[in-house]
Amino acid sequence: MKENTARPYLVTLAILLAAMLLSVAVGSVVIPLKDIFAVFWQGITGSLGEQIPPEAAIIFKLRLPRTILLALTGAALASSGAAYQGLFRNPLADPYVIGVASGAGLGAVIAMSIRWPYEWASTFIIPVIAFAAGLVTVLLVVVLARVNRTSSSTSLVLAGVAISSFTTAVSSFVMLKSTGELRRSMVWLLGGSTLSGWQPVLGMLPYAVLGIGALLTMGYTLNVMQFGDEQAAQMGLRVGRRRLIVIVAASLTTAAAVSFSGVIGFVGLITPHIVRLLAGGNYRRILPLSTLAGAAFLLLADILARVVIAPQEVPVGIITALTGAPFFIWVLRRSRPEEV
Amino acid sequence: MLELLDVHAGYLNKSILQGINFTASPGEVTALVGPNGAGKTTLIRAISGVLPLQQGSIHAFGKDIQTLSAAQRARMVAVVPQATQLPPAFTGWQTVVLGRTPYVNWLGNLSHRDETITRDAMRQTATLELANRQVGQLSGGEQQRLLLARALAQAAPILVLDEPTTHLDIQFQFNLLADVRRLAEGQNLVVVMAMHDLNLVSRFCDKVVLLNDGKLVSYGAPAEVLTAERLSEVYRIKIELHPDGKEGQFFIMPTLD
Repeated sequence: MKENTARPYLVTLAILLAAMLLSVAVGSVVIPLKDIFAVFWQGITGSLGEQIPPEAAIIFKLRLPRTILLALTGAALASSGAAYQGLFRNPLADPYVIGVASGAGLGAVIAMSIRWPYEWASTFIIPVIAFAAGLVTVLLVVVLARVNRTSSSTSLVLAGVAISSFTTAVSSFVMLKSTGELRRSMVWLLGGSTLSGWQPVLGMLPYAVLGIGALLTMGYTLNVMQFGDEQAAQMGLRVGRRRLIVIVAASLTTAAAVSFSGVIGFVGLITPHIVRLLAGGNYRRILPLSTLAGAAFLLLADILARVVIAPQEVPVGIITALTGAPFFIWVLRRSRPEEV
Repeated sequence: MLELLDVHAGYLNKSILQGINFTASPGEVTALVGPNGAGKTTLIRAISGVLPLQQGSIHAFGKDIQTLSAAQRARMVAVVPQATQLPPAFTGWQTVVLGRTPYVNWLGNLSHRDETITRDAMRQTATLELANRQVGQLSGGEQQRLLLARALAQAAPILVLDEPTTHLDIQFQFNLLADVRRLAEGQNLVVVMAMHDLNLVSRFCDKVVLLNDGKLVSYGAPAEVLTAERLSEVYRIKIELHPDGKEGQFFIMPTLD
């Protein structure tokens, strides 16, 4: 009757840990697992010494921060995707489809085009502007999608696509006109992290923790809202307030991901779907499982991005789209229509 | 006790309900009847508190429902909605347990009491065996019983049903209404139910509220309210009543001139 089984969590967590280890190991230099453990052990016990071995430098200065940044990004995209899908009761809702990601992207592009007096200022201010722009965009989409006081799935997606195209066009225009480094924005737009080292990790961490943390408390709310606004209100939920909290938390989470890792599609769309097919319709489970699975998915995609045309790297957004789209179609075709 | 005093309600500037007055008592089943568009569903939305009143008031056991918070209101009034699309991937248990929403915390953690009440609600509606089944694979009758169980899990003294027998075949219609009757008497619930089928109303309900164009036409026992003359006028076709043998019961039949 109840489902307290921990197995899906353990399996997903195991996949995530394996993906993180692999992500630290794989690159232009492959570091064997036993060396990784040795370096970690030395790092923990403080016995690295004055002469830091090259593997340790690669691990601590490049691979580990990148791994954590991507894990956070994947977790952010998948958890906000799951929240939007649940909130709008629409399997197509994800941060990109409903426009919040491109809105946040526009905010980030504008923030990047400004010359900030201090480097750290840009790190912390970009996500704030991205969040504000993303929030305005999603609220605009929700308002535009309202016809006769209800917003159907179709009108929501149509409004999202229209607003997305618009904000993306404005983003491109701002990028062309900006005096900043164009390549940085281009790479960012294709879903590649432009910053390396610990700076983006530290920049993203507070927003991601706050946003994902808030979303993880909304599982029960989303369960009730699966019955529609009217029934949810009749069951005693303050629907308007709860919906606003989900939108704000999901938009903050999306903005954190977009600001530091660029435009990465499909993670927020397919991860919750796969989780739902494997673990059922309960959002108290879908949200945490999507968070873990999204992190694992993006890490695996990034590992692929590093090796397909090594030593060159492919932006990870290209890999998620190339692997995600066929997988998504496969999932759609083998599932029963009522589950999608 | 559910009291409606001069209830006006509608959408935007348009009033659909115009001055509805009646009182429904515990242990009794009150039917709302009337042609399509008479205001049955609007009245149910007003009683459940999701549609603000334009004028008048609704009191649930002395409390004005418009002054209650959503959770307080849900503890007074539980609604069985019209047959709707249920989330197909939910299990029966997940569906029914949401009736505990006005009692649980933000995270939805269930107390032992919440689980006991949910299980009781499922036992009373014979839905325990559906607990682990996916809702999408259940029949319309089973889904409707789950919605009734969910409303019972809400443990509210007032139970409101919006055309609960629509889309059900006669066996399920009969069983569902027999369940509702039994619950009204057994738990001393105030039951208000929008209904289309006047014959079922005359068999299962204690009181009838006949609505037409948002106004209350007549209120009382079925035999008093459901007269051939009044029904012919409200439904605008010729309707005859045929006694069916038992005392006070009759068939209501539209007839050709």
